[in-house]
Amino acid sequence: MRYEAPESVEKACQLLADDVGHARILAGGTDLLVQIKTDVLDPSLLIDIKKIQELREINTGSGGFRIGAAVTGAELKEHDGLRAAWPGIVEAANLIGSTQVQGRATLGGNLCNGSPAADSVPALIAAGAKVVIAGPNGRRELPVEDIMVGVRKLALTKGELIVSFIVPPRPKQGGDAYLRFIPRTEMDIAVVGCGVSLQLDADGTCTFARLALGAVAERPLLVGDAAKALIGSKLDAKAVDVAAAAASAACRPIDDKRGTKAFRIKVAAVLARRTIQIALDRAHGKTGTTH
Amino acid sequence: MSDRSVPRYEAALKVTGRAAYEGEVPAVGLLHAALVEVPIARGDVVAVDASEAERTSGFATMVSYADAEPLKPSPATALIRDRAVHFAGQPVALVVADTLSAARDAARAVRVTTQARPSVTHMAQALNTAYVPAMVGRFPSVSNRGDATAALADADRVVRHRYETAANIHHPLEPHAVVCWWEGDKAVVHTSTQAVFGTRAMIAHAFNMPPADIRVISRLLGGGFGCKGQLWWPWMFLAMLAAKKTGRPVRLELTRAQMFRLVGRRQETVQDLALGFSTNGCLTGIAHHVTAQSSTHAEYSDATAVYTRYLYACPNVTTSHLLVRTNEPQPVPMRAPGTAPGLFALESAMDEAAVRLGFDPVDLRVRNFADHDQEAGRPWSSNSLRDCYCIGAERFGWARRPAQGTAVDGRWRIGWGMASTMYPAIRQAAKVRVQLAADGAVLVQCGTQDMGSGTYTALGQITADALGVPVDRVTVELGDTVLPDGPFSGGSQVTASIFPAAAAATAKLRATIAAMAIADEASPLAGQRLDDLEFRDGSIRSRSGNVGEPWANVLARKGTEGLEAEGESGATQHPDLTATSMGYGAVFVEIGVNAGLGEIRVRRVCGAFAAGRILNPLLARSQYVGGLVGGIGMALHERTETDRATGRMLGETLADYLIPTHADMPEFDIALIEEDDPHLPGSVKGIGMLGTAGIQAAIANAVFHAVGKRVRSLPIRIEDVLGRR
Repeated sequence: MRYEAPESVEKACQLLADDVGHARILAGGTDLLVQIKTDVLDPSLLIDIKKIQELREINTGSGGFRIGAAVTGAELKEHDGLRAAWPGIVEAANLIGSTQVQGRATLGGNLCNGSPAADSVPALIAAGAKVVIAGPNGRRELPVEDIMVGVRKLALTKGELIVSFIVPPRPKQGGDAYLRFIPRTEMDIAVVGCGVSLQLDADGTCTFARLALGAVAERPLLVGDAAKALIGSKLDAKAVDVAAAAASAACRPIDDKRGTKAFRIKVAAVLARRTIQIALDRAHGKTGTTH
Repeated sequence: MSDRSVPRYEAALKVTGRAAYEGEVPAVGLLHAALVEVPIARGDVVAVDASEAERTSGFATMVSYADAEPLKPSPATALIRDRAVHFAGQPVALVVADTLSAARDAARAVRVTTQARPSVTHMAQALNTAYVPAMVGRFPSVSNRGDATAALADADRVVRHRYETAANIHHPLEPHAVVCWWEGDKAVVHTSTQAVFGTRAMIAHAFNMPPADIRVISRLLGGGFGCKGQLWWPWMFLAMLAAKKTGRPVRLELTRAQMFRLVGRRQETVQDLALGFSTNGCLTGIAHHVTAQSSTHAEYSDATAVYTRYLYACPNVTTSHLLVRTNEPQPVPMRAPGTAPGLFALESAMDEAAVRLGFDPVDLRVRNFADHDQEAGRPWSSNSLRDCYCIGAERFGWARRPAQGTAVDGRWRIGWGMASTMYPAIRQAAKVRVQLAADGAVLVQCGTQDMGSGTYTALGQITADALGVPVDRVTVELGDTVLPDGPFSGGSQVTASIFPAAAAATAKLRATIAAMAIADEASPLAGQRLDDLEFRDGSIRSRSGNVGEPWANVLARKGTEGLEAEGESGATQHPDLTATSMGYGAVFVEIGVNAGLGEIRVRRVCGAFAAGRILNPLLARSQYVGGLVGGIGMALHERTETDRATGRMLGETLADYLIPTHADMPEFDIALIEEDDPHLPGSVKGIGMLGTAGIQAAIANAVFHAVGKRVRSLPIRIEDVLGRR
């Protein structure tokens, strides 16, 4: 196994493009190294991206955020501006692993590991975040929801890597939230995850909504019907019920040791309801809300 | 906190990371080992071809059944001498190389040809082959007292249900490891084991060599819980064979994945239990029949239904145990063997009975208290179970228990449950050596090892107390076969076993020093009466005459370099006992069930335990809390499953095998109820197992109390709780 630590995006793309074996990007390594150790993966080349400055920074500008793919959960948590604008994204990223893992695990890694249960992904999708991809033919952008196309399958082509996430400015009277269900209190893989982002107008009518689910299909899902049910409503019980039902209806989960199909479908509705409520409270400027 | 609450002897070493475990022992020219596994669940090894592995960088040698064949046949060598494959992931060879990664690469390059045969990958596939093992632990498999069948037929009320418990894995933090080498014909084996003397005996047998030529060392263990015993031996033997073959030290450490299948598990059980009652709530008949899994290469049965013979007064009790052999890993004892699964069934059924009969669960248990050992027909040496109920209930506030299904806290539906726990108090043979230096320093030695449960601290404390010196004057040496013979660490019996041996050794020393002082004209104690002398604060004193001197002075005047004495004590002789000894407890829990999600959180636990005299309340509390945490894991999370198609374990990582985290831990209130027990040396009973049993049923009973859903299968799945309501 070869190890490279390029200092530019171009060099990293070049290494990826030139590799004839199974190259893997090494960011925090909290998934990759475990998979190598347990013989799930046997890469021919590891490309460590932590020396590429652009991938390690959070930049603010025009109210939005550009988050480098190799920014860690701990760094997200320490960014006051991001925490204030998109608490749901930061909370989701901070559910990944222990405090020690938080110091290593990155936002880009969580997406590129390709797990449908990745905690940060539904929150990013709900926020309407985009991904900047660099490759042999330059750069392109894709919505986060279009990156993962199946379990461990990404919409990246040969030689491409994720450079950063573009998160829009927080809308006025907007709020986001992420909740997941696990059988114990911390440190587990989501049985169901739900991210919600909302915007209200002056009289409290919902003008914008996105709801995304994790761990209920082969990839994270953006649930358009849930958003439809919320937009134009005052987020009254009836609208929330319809959105929660849409969340359940969108699920196509599997049975596994963490939960049955029926249970996941049921939990998706409960989490949708609770996540909408937290996002709504935040849109109204209330803080400190938890489930 | 009591002045008996001495902190751990090795605490500073552990918290500063300086504690050296046996797998870390340095050795010049050390080779690293990796096991070669086969994927089939049943069949035979046709050939093991190392030709490709030999070409890998750093390769030293490979050992397989061809090398193990000269070892003497025994259960400990069967897996490595034979070509038979009994379970998926069974190692068939061991490769050693210059580095660990080179060893693993070489192991991957070994080509194993196998002939697969049809396998049994779950008990349910082979129930027709179930058989009665000769014994379950030290108890008969089958028992009949009175006529349970007739009593159940005549009972006013019968509670009859099936209860199930999953296979659990021990998972001590420190994996099994060995660093071993040969010095001519002599073997030095540093290994993480709960039984240095048992390990030495098995090496002596397997390699046909005198025990005196073998040194087994296990000074610190990062936990054991029952898995650091016999199932480790075959893999350790392979490392020893490789060390012999290469003439170099060899190190083998199991991976976390290998710990799921190579070193034991708590066996899966299916238990059919029937309790018959009269309308006044007295048990009239009990039938408890257990079917459990064992492997095809060894036999083990937990004493799962055995405690049903003892816990409650009942004239008609029948119990039985069946085993079903499967191509799955072999079970061994795991903390609270037998009591943890067995009391889940019995104490769940008692709760069901309390609901049916309209009794408070505590009252029903008190009403059925067994005032003597009904199996042996002899008294208890001591039994404070009723105090456990009473004090536990008082501290928990049981009298304020809300009506079933009525308590709510926000989104959480609240339930209270309770259960009993018990475990036999027994001893093994032990020898303890105590040396006094002329400067007053004390050295106490016993070969037994400390699993992490406090043996260093307890032995130091016993010795210091007996000699009247502060504990920091006492150096404790354990975990080495060159030291006096001591017990294996299991069955909650080490402290009780070494106590009388240490007492005997220190009594001899006290008598010697006292005699020296009385006979020494230069001593202020000259001419004092022997029985008037006591040892306190590093001195020997006359109780009545108020004279004394440091005992080191007595030794110094004699010009002796020091004194040494050995004490010895015997194992429990079960047939000769005039009284039966057990420890007891009652555990009370409050749980919350999240209304929408069904998630269960243990909010509060009170355990009241009566297990003789408590030597160190700090360590005792820590043992009980640790045990209860294990019990919470068994109740709510822990389960390892076999893929029925391939026989492989599903998810061999701690990401897939859930245990409770710190954030899951409730508040623990532990009541230590002390007992005087004239039948036991120092009134000492073991405590390690008690916390791990009982709490499973208490949690299931609390779930019923919260949401009206009776779960009879562990771990409790959230889907089971959401169920109907």
